[in-house]
Order: sequence, then structure tokens, then C-alpha cells
Amino acid sequence: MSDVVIGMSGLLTILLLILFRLPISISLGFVSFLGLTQIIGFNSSLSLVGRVPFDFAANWTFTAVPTFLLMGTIAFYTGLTANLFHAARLWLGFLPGGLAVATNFACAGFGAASGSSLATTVAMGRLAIPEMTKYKYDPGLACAVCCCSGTLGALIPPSIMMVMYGIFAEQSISKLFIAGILPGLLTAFIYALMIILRCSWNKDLAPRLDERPTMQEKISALLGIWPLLVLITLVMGGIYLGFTTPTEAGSIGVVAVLLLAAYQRRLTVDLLMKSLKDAAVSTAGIFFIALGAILLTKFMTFSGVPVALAEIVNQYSVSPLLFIIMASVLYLILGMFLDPLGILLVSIPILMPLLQSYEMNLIWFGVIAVKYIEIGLMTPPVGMNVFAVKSLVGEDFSLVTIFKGVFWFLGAEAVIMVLLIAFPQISLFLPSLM
Amino acid sequence: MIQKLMSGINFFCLSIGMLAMLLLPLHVTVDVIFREVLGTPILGTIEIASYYYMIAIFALPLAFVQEKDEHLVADVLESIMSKKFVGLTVSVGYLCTVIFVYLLFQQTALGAWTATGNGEHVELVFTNLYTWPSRWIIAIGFGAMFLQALLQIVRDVLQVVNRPKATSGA
Repeated sequence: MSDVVIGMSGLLTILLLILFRLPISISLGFVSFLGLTQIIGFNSSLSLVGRVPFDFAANWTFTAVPTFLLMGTIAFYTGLTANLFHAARLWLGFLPGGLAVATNFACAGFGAASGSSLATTVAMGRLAIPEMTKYKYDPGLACAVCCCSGTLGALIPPSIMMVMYGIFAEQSISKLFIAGILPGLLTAFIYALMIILRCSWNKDLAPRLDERPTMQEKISALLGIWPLLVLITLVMGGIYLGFTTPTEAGSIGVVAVLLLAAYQRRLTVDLLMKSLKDAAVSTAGIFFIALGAILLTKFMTFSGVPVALAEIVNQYSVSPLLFIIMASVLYLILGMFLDPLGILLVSIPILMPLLQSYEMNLIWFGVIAVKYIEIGLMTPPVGMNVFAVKSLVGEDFSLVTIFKGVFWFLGAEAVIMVLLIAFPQISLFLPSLM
Repeated sequence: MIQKLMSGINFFCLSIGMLAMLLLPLHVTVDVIFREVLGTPILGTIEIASYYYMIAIFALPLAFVQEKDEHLVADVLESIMSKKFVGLTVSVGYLCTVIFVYLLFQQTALGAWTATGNGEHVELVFTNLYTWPSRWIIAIGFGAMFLQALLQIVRDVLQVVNRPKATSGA
């Protein structure tokens, strides 16, 4: 059996094992190890397995992952951004579908404090879904806006996905963070436009709010979100102005969020312990998957699969656009079945050599990849964000109702993706100013 | 009884990981403040963060993750698989985990042994930072995870072995 065949068989086995519910980390690591034994021999593979964990974990760049995760969990548990939804509601409630639009922008705001779309979905879903239900909003719209706008958490910096992409694709994490800002805002605005148009067309979807807040109330609500503004200034301002690296910014973010929560008397020892435990468990889980992905990268390199794929692509003179479309289809299909981190870490070792052969901008591709992976969180049958919302609403609304609402947002995503692919400057303009 | 003892070990390891999780941002922030305000960063921040905090955060909670089955899995086919088949996939998962994590434990422990013998360290400006202890941290993390996965397999096997007896007894 040739090395390429071993590599392809290994990839297929990994996908099958993941589909059959084996832990993603073990599927990646174990199969890659077995594949490596076939290519470079047992002893060399064993020595590789011994070296990789320490070399990989003792990495300064990786410190961004636990710190941003901890920042997000503390913000989540202490309800630091609870005023965000209130402020968005007072300012945007007058619009058709005002509460849904407010939820959408509140998610964008929470995304600036959390690097995870799941955390954003749950945090905002807890506040916004009961409120929208009270005002007799269409259940599909109420749930879907939380599922889909929650994905802004992974695009608007800080973003754990961007950190992982940056490390594995060897790209600047600062630039990736900054590159996510405009696509994140574009997504929020297109979602808002879609909600407003739908609710103007069909008034039963979202009855208008009868409250008319005064300007004083609005300004007071806006002042209530100052902790978030402080956090954004410290974390993103530091990175953008070059005072801090993303790794340092994550640490500063944790200390800032701790001080802000303590100042607002929201921080208790219990909440701190809960945040630390959640962040530690998530970090270990993510890093264990990443360890498997590193072994996969080595397995792919030794097997020569990426080179063979690049040769095929060159042989058929696939245009860059067609290649991006093919990669998009691949991400959409994988997104229907796999976990976001799994998709990212399985795809990078295979796609990266191809992207390099096309001389594509890897910062731009990072934004595209993260966008597609986040779309996977909304698509059936897995759609993790949909399940997160389902767990919040219990038996009140069915999965089918939520997925029906989500399809409108997927339509909006199609428009957003076309814009992001057709106009790379949307992603690259801000990084070009750094 | 054994699981209780193992849970205690797992929680102890997790607690050290949580402590490292808290110390990392505090240490780095103080370093940034020293650098920006006083013009002198704290010596060895990057090295301590990389070799100690990060290793502890990565490796020590792994046994707890294993005990609570908190590894990321794709549940896509679970709804169409029979309960028996899901049970089988979980056991196969434990088996693969035991083998893979044993290899990780064995190799990292060997690495730690060698590094200890060599007095492995990194050079800082005025002093050295020993890195060999952090190699033991990673080996301990994998070791605890291996024992936890082994316990889970034994538990599953015992369940299967005991089931027919209970049926025939009834």
C-alpha cells in the first residue's frame, strides 16, 4: 500500500470513528499514530508521540486560549454583560422585530467579551428568549436569532477559533482578530436587515413594542454597558495599537473582567471556582484535540496526501474561485456532522499546502473558514447552537420550529459569504492598517 | 472504592490546573504593567507561563475530563444507533483511549526521566529555569488519565460479565 493510500485510509477512518461517536481527540491521535507506524515505523512513531505533547503544550502563543476562555466564562457567570440586552432593547426596540434586532446586536457585543459562540448563544438566549416569548414573537424567530447571532462570538474578537487557526496556519493572531471585526459587523447588519424586512412583511412574526423609552432612559441604559466598553478598549485597543500581544491581551482581559465583576459586586468565590473549572476543563479538552491534530498534521505530511491533492488540483487547472467553492462545500458538509474545532483541525493540514500553492491570503481564508465552521453550528442535523437553545427552551418549542427559523438566517449567510469571498477587502482592510 | 480514590486524585489534579489557570493571567498582567510602567519585565514570565502554567492547564485536568466523559464527540448518528451499539462505541472509545494515553504516558514519563537526569533547563538572563519538573507534570496528567480510562473499561467489562448472572438469577 502506498503512503498516500495509507493517508487517505487514515482520514476516512478518522471521519468514521468520529461519526461513530468516538472522542474526536482519540480518533485523531490514535489513528494518526497507527498511520505513522505504517509509514515511518513503530519506534519513530513512538518517539514522536513522546515528544509532541510537551513541545506543543509548552507554547507561549497557546496561552491565549485559556485566558480568553476564562475571560468569557467569568463574563458569562457573573452576568457582566447583562445590561447589554437592556440597552440594545431600549435603543432598537422601535424597529420591526425590535427585540430580535436588539438580541442580534447584544450578541455582537457579548462576542467582544467571549471567544465562544456557544457561550454567546446561551448567555443571550437566557435573557432574550423569555422576553421575546412574552411579547408573542414567533418562536422560530426568537430561538433562531439567538442560535445564529451567537455565532458572532467566534468572529468578533477575541475568538478561540481564530487563535487555533492562527497557531495551526502559522498566521498572526492579532491580524486574524482584527480581520474578524468587519465581517462580524457585516453579519450583524445583514441579520438585522433580514429580521426587519421579514417583520415588516409579516407583522404577526413580531408584534411592535408599546414602550417608548425617553432619551434619558436610553442614555442611562447605554452608560450601563461601560464594563464591556472598558473590556473592549483594554483587550482590542491593546492589540490594535501594538501595546500587547493577543496572549497578553487575554491575560489583561481576565484581570479586567475580574476587577469589573468585583466592582459591580457580582463576583463570588463560587462563581470564580465555577469559571476556573469550566475554563480548565474546556482548555484541556481543546488542547487534547489539538494534540491529536498535530499528530494528524505529521501523519498527513509523511503520507504525502496534501502534495498528492495539490498535484490533482494543478493537473485539472482548478481556478482559485472554484477551489474556494470546493472548500466551501467541504466545510458545509463537514459542518453538518462534526464539531467546529474538529473541522478546523482536520481541514487545515489538508488545505494549507493547497492554499499556499494558490498563494491565497491566509488571513482572509481564516475568516472564511471560521465563518463556514460557525455556519455548521446552525445547520441540521447537528447544529450545536440549535441544541444549546433547545436545552434553554426545553419542551416549549420543537427542534423543527427552531430549524425553520434558522433557515432564514442561513439565507442571509449565503449573501454574506458571497460578499466575503467576492470582496476580500472586507476582511483585509483593517489588518492592512496595522 | 477505587473510583472514589481516583475521583479524589482527579479532582486534586484539576484543582492544580485551576490554580495555574488563575496564576497565568495574574502573572502575565503584572509583567505587562512592570514592562510598560517601570520598563523592566518580570524575568522568565514567558518561560514560566509556557513550561509550568500551560503544561499544568493542559495535562492536569485531563483525568477529570475523562472521568466526566467531557471529551468532544459528534452525536450525529447517536439517535439512529441502538442503545447497545452506543454502549459498544463508548467501550471502544475507552479501549482506544487506554492504548493511546498509555503510549503518551509511557513516552512522556521516559522523557521526564531522561530530562531529570540531564537537569534540563532553559537559560534566562541571570539564571536558569529548570524545566524537567514540568515534564513530570505532563506525565502525571497522562498517567492519571490512563488509570481513569482503565477503570472505566474495567467497570464496563464487569457490567457485561455481571448482567447474564443477574438475569439467570432472576
